[in-house]
Amino acid sequence: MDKKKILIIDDEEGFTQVAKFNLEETGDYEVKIENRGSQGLAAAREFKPDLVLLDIIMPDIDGGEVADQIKADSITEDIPIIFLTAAVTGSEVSSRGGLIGGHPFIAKPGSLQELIDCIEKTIKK
Amino acid sequence: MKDNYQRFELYVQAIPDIIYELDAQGTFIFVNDSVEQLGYRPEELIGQNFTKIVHPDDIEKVSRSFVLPKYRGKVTGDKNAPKLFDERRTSDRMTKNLEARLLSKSKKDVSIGCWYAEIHSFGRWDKDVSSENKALLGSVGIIRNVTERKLAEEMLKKTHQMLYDILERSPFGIYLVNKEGGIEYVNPAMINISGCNHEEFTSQNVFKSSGYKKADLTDKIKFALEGAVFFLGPVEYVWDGSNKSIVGNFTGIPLEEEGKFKVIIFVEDITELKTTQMQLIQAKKMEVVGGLASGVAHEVKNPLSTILYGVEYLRKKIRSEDEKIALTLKHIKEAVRRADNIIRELLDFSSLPKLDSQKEDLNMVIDKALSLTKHQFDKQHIEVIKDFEAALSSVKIDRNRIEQVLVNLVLNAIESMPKGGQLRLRTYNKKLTELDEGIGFRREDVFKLGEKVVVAEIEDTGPGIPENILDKIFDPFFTTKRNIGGTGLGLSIVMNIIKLHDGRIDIRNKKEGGVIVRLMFKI
Repeated sequence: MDKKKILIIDDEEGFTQVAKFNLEETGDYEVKIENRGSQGLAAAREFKPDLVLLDIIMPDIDGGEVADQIKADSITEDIPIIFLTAAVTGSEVSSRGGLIGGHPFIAKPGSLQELIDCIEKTIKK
Repeated sequence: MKDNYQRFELYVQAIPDIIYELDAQGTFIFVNDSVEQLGYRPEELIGQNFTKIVHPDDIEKVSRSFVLPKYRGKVTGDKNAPKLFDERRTSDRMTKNLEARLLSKSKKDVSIGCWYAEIHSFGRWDKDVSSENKALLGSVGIIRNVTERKLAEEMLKKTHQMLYDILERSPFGIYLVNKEGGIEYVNPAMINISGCNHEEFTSQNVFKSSGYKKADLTDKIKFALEGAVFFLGPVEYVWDGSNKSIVGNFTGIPLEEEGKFKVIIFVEDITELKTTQMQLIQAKKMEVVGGLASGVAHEVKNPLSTILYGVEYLRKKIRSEDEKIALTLKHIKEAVRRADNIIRELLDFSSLPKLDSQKEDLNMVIDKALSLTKHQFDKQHIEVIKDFEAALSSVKIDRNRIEQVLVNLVLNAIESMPKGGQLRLRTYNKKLTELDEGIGFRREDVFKLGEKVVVAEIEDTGPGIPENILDKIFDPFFTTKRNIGGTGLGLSIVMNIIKLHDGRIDIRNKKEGGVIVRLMFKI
């Protein structure tokens, strides 16, 4: 079975690395990381991931903007996105129905299993 | 003889008091010129009855025909002896200091045209008064105008009454201390403020009382007894024998009386003001903490997630026989969870939500909270007993927030029963009929007597809350679970959410053990 391609766009370098290690360790994923929103957009077009994990608060272009551009580009419009953010709390997740701007999201910090479950559920859709 | 008579007549006319002579029927046969004070010429009154110049309301009080019948058969000693203008008695028994209002000629308006007179009169007889067959010739008298004195007395009486009313009705505590440190007067407000009864308060000596000494009041009062004004406050004060502590401003003002000073002390009770100020300061602090927390939260959560994922990776990669490594990783992971929990509560606490309220069935919200905590009470073998009123009125609440409140309260109850027990949830409609904290008629009472409400109760069978911390449980950052990551914000957040709903929460120990939490919402 082919490995699923995951693109992580997050300005927290340490986090992106350990997330990559973890996901690759499962043997199910091929992971690429970008720490700038703008580079993330370019990577989305070239790498053609099966899913993007996207931070919201980033220094150059914020996650909301990145998501909008991915959805506006015919090459990348079908790629599902999961927001990863430290800006909301767990209790807000349920009150927002688990979505931000129509995309599922995971509050940082969360468990790895929670992340993998969310990835699998989203890709299946 | 004629010279003597003329001289005598001169004396009589020169005297400022009215001097008169009446015949046996009470008719004027002589009156001196001083009667002009009443607007009459003497010759106008000759042949007129004395009552012509007496105020109509006073005739009954001072005329023998009215007064004497009332004394028939009664002992009339010095004190009770009737006072009469048409006196028949003489010598020591004559009328002295008869007070009556007289009427002037011009002013028929009796309230203005009268003046107060003091009359001295005695009878005249043809023989000695003790002899038999004597005949009354009439009476002689002197009238002195005492209007000024009388008015001054009345004014004084009115002023006295007014001062007394001011003292008695003043919202400030007021009392009077004498040179010996004794308390001569205390007003009702002071009794109320002090928490003592009247006797307890007045039996204290300000030079000996430990309370006065401790608050530095004894020295201040001593200075005031020398004539100096003092001000002390705000000070916390407890009167001897009282269990009420107040914050008050004390003002002492020396009053001089015949060269000796007394001190009148005014006490303004500002306990409530201080409490409100403290609450405001506390709220301000919380706002700062909140602002700080939300700013810091994002910065802290990112590194926490790095640590968490890092630990997960290491846990898989390090295949060591050394249990200590696995244990260390487990501890790191738990520490991250705790830190995350603290930040989350801080955020919840600081970001008071705008409510998204709708009419809800509280029974359903409770069921949801129970389903979210089911895992916990199953694990600890806690029996859940539901006693829901089927026809429960709907309440306007923010479902998510009240769910958060209920989860918090249920988890607290579960935590208090680590070895199992019963969790009882009860809901019912109620009409408020009893005064309680926040229930009454005052503007600040959120619930008014007679109002219909919905009540939810959560009871546990745990050990209860120690009485000494019961009044602190809603304070932010107060926790008994610091060692296991408690922030002390849980109940504080609960209280905030309930307040936003204009609701009420009270947490009490039950007589039979355990805790009962009672939530109340407006319908």
